[in-house]
Amino acid sequence: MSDALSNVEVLYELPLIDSQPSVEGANNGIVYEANFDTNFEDKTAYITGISKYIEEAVLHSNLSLLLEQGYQHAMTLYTWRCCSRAIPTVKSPEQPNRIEIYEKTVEALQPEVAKLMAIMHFSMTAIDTFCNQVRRLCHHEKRKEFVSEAYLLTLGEFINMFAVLDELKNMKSSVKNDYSAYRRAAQFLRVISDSTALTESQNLSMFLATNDKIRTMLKTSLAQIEGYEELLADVVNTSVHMFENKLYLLPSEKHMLVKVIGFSLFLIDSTACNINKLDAKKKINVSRIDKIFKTVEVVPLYGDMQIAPFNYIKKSPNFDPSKWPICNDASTSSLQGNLLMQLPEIREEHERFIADLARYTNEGAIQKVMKRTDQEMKYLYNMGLTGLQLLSKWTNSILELYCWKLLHPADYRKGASKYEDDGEEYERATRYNYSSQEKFAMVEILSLIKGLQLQMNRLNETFYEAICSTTYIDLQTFVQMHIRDMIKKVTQKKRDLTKSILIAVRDTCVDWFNGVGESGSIEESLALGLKLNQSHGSKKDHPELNHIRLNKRCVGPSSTQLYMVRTMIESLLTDKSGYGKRTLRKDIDYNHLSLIDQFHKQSFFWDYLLNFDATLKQCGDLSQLWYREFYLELTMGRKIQFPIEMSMPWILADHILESIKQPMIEYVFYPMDLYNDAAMHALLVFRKQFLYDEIEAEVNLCFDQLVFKLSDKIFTHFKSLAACMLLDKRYRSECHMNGIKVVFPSANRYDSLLKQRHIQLLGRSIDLTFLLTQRLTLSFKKSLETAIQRFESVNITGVMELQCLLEVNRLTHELLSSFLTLDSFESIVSEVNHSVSSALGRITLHIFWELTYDFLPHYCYNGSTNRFVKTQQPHVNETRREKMTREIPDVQLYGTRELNQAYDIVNNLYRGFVGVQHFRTMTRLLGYQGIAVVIQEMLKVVKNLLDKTIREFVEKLRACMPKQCKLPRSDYGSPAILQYYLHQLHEIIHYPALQDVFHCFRELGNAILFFLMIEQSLSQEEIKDLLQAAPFQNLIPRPYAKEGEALEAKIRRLEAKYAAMSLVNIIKKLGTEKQGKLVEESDLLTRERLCIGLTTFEVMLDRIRGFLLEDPVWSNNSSSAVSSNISPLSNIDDTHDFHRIWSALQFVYCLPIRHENDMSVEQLYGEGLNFAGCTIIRLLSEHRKFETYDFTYHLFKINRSDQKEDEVKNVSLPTFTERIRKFQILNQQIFACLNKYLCHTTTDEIPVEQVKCLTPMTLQTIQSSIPIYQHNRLPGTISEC
Amino acid sequence: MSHYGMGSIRSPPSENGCNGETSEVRRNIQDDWQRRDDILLLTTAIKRLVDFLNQFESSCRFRLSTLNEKLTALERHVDYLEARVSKGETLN
Repeated sequence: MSDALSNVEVLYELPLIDSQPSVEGANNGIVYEANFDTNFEDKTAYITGISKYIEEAVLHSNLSLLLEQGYQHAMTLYTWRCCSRAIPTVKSPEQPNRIEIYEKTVEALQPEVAKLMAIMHFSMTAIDTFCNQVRRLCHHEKRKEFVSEAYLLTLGEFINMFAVLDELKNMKSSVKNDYSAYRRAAQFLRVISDSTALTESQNLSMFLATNDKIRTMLKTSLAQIEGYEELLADVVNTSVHMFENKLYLLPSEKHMLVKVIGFSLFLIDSTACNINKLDAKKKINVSRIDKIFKTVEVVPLYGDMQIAPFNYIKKSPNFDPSKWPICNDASTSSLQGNLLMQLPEIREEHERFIADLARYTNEGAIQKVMKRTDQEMKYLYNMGLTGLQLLSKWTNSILELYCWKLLHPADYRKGASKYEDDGEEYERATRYNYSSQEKFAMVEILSLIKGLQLQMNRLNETFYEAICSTTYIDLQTFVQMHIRDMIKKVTQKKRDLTKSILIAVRDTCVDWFNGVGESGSIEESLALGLKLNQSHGSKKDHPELNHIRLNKRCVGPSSTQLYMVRTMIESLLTDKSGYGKRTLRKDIDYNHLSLIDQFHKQSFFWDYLLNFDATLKQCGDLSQLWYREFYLELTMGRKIQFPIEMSMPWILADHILESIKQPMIEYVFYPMDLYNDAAMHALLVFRKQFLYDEIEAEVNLCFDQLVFKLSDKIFTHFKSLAACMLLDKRYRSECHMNGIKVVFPSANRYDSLLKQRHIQLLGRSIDLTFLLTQRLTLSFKKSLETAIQRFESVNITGVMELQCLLEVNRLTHELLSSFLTLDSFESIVSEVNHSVSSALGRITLHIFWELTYDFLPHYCYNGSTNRFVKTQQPHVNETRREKMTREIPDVQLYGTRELNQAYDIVNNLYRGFVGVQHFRTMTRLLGYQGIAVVIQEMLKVVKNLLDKTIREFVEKLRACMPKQCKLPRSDYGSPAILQYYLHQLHEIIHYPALQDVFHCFRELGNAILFFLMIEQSLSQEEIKDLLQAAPFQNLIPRPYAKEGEALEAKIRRLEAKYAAMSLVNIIKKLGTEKQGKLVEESDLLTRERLCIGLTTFEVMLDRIRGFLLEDPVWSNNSSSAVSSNISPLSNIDDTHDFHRIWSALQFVYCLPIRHENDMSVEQLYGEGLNFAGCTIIRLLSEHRKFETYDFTYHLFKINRSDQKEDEVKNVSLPTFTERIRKFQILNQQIFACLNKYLCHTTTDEIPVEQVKCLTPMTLQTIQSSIPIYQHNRLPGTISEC
Repeated sequence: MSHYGMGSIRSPPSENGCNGETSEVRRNIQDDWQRRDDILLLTTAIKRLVDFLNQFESSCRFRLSTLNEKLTALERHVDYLEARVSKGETLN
């Protein structure tokens, strides 16, 4: 035995990790409840008690049994669902299967009807029993005797039961319908044949059909008893007394007292007896009752039925409104309907109590082994009691509000349009009947109740121990010490009756120390007491006497024991006794009397406290908030069950989820606890499978919604948080000024919900974290999908928005990842991007698509802004994109509407152009692999252009060119030269498809520019990478060394200082061999990325050159000229070379526009055009020739010197030359830029053209004018000379 | 003794020396205290057991859920990696 106990003790040593914040009530998998209530089975054991009270106990136990039966019947009635509606009816007497239908009807309804029969019989016997009791007690001899409070209370309970049964019977019309259906069938089949059965059935239908049958029966039976009103008045007075002194604990008891008062007064008041007269005779106190009825205007009757107790009075025949001033005052209403007024008080109570409790639990946690002293036990006992009382009070305030609202449904006439649907009665009572504040208040109180209940449940053992030991000590002190003194006194006074009662009290529950007691018999103790008394003479206090040793026990009195003791001492206290005018009070000293009184008051709660578990559960039971049988009955079968929108638990839970400002999210599972309560009630109290099924179905529905809404809310919260974090602070305040209220989402404790790994709902354990993780991953996918889809529906400028959305999502992911284990962001992105199993993601594809089909043909580059803008005259048709047809929820973008607006404004700034930012973003989005793919594809486009369109055009243009085109001498003057060129290039100028030619070159140029831009942004990214990696790679910037300081030493010192950051060394030291190798390799990779000096652009140029050199169209002449060593001077006037053609083109596009409305070439094609030409020229190494022989340059040069401003064939020379100058500068810039990338490769690959030293004409000219190493320009100058 | 005639109160048979029965009853009551004390001890022990089981349950659920979470994450990651790696194979 002791082994077993110590084994149990050891269990506590086991560490059980569960770091989950509690967000729901006490829902344990296993519930253990020990019930020691014997219902007076053990009454015979206490024959030491006064026999009269033992007899009363017998009666009491019988009444309790009847009461229990009564409540069973009430349950049957309440949970009755109409059966007859489901049964097919016989439509015509000729129907062939009617006999079968009737037979089945009888078969189906027989057991149900039996229940009804039982109810009728029960109500009759119960009324009989009750009346017998009343009759017994009203006997004029008995009348003067004392009736115990408990007994009166039981009678009161009976009255309550009658009231409940009667109301239930009235309300359930389906019961009547079912019975009449049965009767019809039974009569047809002649099942009820014998006469007794017939009368029975007749009685039953009468019983069911007559409203208020039970109360009428009760009233008539009572009327036959003489003086019953006085007994009922006693019942009323007891109830009033208990109500006023808060002598009740369970929530239902408070209401029962009020109902008893109301119904009893209704029963008393009749033609024969007037309550007003009773009041006058001081039998009852109407004004006190008036007050009570005002404070409790409405009480729950049963389930969702409620009753205003004052209505009983109103209905009574002798109702006199003037006697009930407070209740009739309609101007004020009771506090019941105003939960908000009660809230601050409840909060304060909770705070105070929780603080106290926390102090004790903390102390307990620190000093586990310490035994508590009796004082501490007493303190804990009081805490337990206070806790229960608080719980009960709060539960009542919710229940009463609920009833109040049921009694005062939302008004139809006010804004009837508000209620769609057919305005269900229940909907008006619940859904539309609570203000937002009220709902929050309800949730708050609910959570206080459930939270406290949970805490007290955890401390259950401590409380129970304290309660048992305190009750034991109190009881034993009372019976062993106080009573002994009293016995002494009354023995002296020779009050034998009182003495015998006192002795009976003692004997009933005394537990002597070590079983023998200080004295085996009372005489001895008395003798001892007397002796001591004498010996000590006048001294009043006898320390030896008071020093009584008690057993150390931790057990309270049994239920019967407690009842006996309480009843017996109550008989001492009562004003009324059966012993003439003299009451027993007078036998006892005043001091002792107050001791007894105190004990009596205190011990009232022992019954509840000794059943701590059960009481705790009942004090926090709010199951009735779900039940709606009454309202279902009202729908007359139109509704089988109400939708969840009308269900209180869901209304509350949903309200939390829908609210934005109130940070109540933590409480969301407390309303769901109501389902637990309701289900528990359905299973253990009502014992109805169908109710449980309905609750379960509702919970299934609600829970899905809950998780859905919750995850949505969480996602929105974190999304908008992330979006706000990423938004510039100053910009945010600017938004504020412009009416876009971007606010940080209010703090809400999602983290405690995100940690819920096991939530108990209807006995099932739910891993909320898991569910939320699933849903949130889905949300991420959806919003990434939206981001990509949005990008796919716009042109290349959309990359900025895409990047922005990705960043916001990434930060959201990061924030959420601190609570949940989500998939890595990269993997989610690549899944949505379809790039998991293919090299090309949707983003890459769309970027490529946009680049090729929109960017290349439609954008014009401007070197000074370094941006591309869309051409104003699209040459080819606009590309078509898939439009976003669906409406996008705010949460899938940036979280809220305001944030979306704010971000839209930012992103719209990037819509009009393609610039550095876009390219950097593209680089980031594409990554190395994406860039490689895009560039490769782009190269194909370039090759295509060069091989097909441009090549064709070049050939055609070449045909248009004059065979020879010289650079005319300056003597002709610039107007003449211009005229010459206009003439020479006539065919080119008037070439019909010139626009197409420019367009093709622009495409090519844009592609080349794209390569350049990508190269630039990529190198920026890489440098950033390298710089960030440098400290970890042991790359330390060279420190400044003063003179005399050794730089080497300084570096070494720094290296030592930052050795802890050198990743390679650390991993080599601490990691495995494999890791060491890996880290070395990746270090090498990082280091060498830029060392080789790989630049994409250079490679691209190389490739393009490859394309050009492959094709003879571009190169054969010039290269052959070089290779065959023909004098380069031989073909200077030849127009076969590309640079000559380009010169012609340049001449064309330099021509000023003729009409004002025409668009210039720059506007139409941008600098891409020039880029294309220059690049080809440069790659063909014709750039020097170009610069020398170019027509426009030549013209420009000559015009410079002669400064002529003529107009030749509508071409104004100054404008023309101005344009030439601009393009010359541009060309020079382009060449410079290309040279930068090409210079170091040209040295190796392309043979540098030999510097030719020509034979000097005169020594002076050589020395003075021309530097000797002019590569290609030399021949030109010579030719001119 | 005349008092007792009035009501239905029968005197407890304690005082007048019929000690046999009374002391028997007293002893029973005394024993009852002891027995109930023992029963309560057992009840408390059972309560502790139940408490322990409940705590054990929630702790187990907590741990299992953590484990489940890790396994799910790993599994998903493996799936992801598999999909990434198998890209070449499916194309070939």
